[in-house]
Amino acid sequence: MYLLNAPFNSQLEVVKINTDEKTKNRLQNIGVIAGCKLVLMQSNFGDVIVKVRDCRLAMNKDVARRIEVERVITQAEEVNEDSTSR
Amino acid sequence: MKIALAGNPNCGKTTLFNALTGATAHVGNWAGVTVEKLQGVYKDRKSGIALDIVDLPGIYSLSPYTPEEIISRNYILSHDADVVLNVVDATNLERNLYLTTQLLETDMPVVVALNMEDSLKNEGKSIDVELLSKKLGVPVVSISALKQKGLKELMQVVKAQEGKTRKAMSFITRGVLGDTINDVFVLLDDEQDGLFDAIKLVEGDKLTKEKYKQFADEIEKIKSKNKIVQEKYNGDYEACVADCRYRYINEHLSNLVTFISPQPELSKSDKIDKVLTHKFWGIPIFLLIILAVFHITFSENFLYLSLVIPDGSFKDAGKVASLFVDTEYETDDEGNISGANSIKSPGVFLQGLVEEFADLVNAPRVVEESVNENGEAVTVVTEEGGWIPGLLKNAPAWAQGIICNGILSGVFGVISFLPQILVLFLFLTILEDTGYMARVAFIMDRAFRKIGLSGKSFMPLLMCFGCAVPGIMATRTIENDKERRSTILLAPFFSCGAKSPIWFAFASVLASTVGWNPEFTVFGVYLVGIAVAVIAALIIKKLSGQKGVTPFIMELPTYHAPQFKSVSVHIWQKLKHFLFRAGTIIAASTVVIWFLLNFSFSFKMVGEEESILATVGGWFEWLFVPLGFGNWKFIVASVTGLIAKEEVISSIEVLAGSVETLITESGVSTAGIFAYMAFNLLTIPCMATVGAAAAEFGSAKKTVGAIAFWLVASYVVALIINTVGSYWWTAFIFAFVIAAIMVIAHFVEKKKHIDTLRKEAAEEMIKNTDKS
Repeated sequence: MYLLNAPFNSQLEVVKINTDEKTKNRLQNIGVIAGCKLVLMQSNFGDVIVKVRDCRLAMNKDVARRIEVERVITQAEEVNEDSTSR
Repeated sequence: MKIALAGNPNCGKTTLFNALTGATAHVGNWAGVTVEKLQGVYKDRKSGIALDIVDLPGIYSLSPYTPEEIISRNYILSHDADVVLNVVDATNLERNLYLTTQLLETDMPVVVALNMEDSLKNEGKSIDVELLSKKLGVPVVSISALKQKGLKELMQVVKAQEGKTRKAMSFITRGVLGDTINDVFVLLDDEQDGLFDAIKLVEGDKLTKEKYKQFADEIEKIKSKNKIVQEKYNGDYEACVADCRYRYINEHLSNLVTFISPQPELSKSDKIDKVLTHKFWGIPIFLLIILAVFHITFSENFLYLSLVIPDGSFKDAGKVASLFVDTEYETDDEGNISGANSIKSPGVFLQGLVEEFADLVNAPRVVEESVNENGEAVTVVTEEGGWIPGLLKNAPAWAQGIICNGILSGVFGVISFLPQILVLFLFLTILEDTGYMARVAFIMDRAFRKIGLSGKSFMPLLMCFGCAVPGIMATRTIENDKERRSTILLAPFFSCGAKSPIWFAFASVLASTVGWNPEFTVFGVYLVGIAVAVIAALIIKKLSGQKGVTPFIMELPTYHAPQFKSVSVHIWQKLKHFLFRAGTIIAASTVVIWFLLNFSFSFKMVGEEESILATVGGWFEWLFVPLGFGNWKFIVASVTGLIAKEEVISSIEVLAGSVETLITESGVSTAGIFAYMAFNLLTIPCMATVGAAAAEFGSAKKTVGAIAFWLVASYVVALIINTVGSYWWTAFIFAFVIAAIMVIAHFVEKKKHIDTLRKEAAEEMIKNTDKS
């Protein structure tokens, strides 16, 4: 799944960054690397605001659709899901 | 002893710099306010400490990408400073320490200033400073630059570093990269910053690779030996280095933050963002805010209160009250009173005050000749005039002329708009200081992208509303050269503070002659500038054949209440700058203009129609007839605008006495007035701006091109406005011509695109044949 169509307000982990080198370096400097955790706060027609390492980052659609993420299930959610399945 | 301030953008370096040195450098709540090195001196009488302080543009890492980031990196590595004072935003420890880990790899002595301890406390968090210092191996001092807390202790710690050396250390030499870094380190055998260079070479940093070209092959050999990086990171050393750094910070340093109080799920900033950056409401909210700012600054009818206040309420309000309310009214045939029921907005009220003062000082003395009872000719003073004309009543005519009609009316003509300029900038500064403007850059990015720019151009262009010089310098934060250049070309279209007196003056005349709302007239001028910028950007984009726009990645700062200190300092600076210009360059040139207006080529004092200015200006009148203002006085005023844009109005004051007289005596139409405003808005900016643009272009050819571009743009737009304003149906002709240009530009773009594709394909073929 890509950041572009990821769910809001849940913990995501960056799996892979498929942008060009230069953009990748910029993302790296600002704290977005494979393996880091982030939360999608807002999406305006694909332009997104994410929270990474306690700071808010804005990026446009071109970047968002090249960042591959996967959902991390937090402990609280796990407990929740367990209770609902029972 | 010299101290360099280094740290992430927007972590408070400049706030600290100002607090330490007493300077008043521009501080704003967004990343990239500082784009140049700033120098200052810190002095403490008690302890006798005196230090040179250098403030550097913010950087996220020592592998920089934008011109202003390279300034910082080069300065730090030049070892010109004795100590690097690393300013760290305590509320954002993890990301900020990423830079710290790199600074520690140099041989520079480092002191860490943990800034924003007050905000950290507000967020219900605390940091173990002692443990952090122990782990980093350098002194750490907790401070609040804004509240000026801990600064003395910080300076003492910094001073104690004098003459000390520090051994470079790295947190990533223990992991997967250990052997590789060590091998490169041994290979370089470098005396200064050896470890730093070794790590940057492993990372593949361009600037360092340049420096050690001779080792390129050997370094590649060493790097290829590292099997783990080849497998796990696909040989991407840069990603591996970044990963190792963040991993260390995450495991060993981030946990030094302890939570005192429970953390809310959504912070205040997140909640505000839900509204202000909303996908549908974001842009309308922004436009409403800006319209409200204009309303408070320019409206003669504050909050449209005239809708509820009965007509004629203020008709007998008196002189003092007339500063606040509109006392003018009209009575129709049936004796109904209309008007005299609106309240002036704060900007208009303040402007009125200054005008009252100007009248007190410089109101003209009116003397009439008449005949008395005995049939003798006498002069009667019908109006006493202001202080200065009163003082000079016995002075020779030329002295009265040069002082009252020259310097004073020119300078007051400009200064009377100062209150409105200050009110306008007060609000813009407040919006900037809260952190809102960074959000606007984000919501505008989509629109900017359509015209070949990115949201990154928003802040520089917004600064141009203040002054184009810092605006053009701020374009350094834009990575792509083409985008930078087109942003600089568009910069003068965003009406700067010095141009605003022109709009204010003409708007108030239009309000009294055709009854237009002054705030809409002024807002309209700003909109014309923006519209022309959009069309020009589109044409530039099409003609340059640029493909795609650089991706937009920007940090959004935490919202905070506007800081009284930084806002007031900013406004004070603006005021000082404006008064200084009025007192020097503007006063001086009004004297010159007055001279040229009152003397002929044979240096005889003559009537203005025979003066040097009238003669020379007259030669060019035909050029501006199609624009609707073919009158030499308009032309001369515009030309003096090249010295400083305030000159346009001060020159008109000297040339004609007032804007209103100039309009009536030249008989210019309303369309012509608008064309004149548009011409001054778009034409070649003042010399200072041209100089700043030339410095950023770094090429005389491009600068000349830019000047031609501005001249053509202003002439064409003024021509369109005047023609359409006079004959509305010509709008169709212009619409057709513009559409035709767009279509042609579109085909040029397409052809260029196809050409590049062909070229690429040809290169590909050559490559393939080479291989086979």
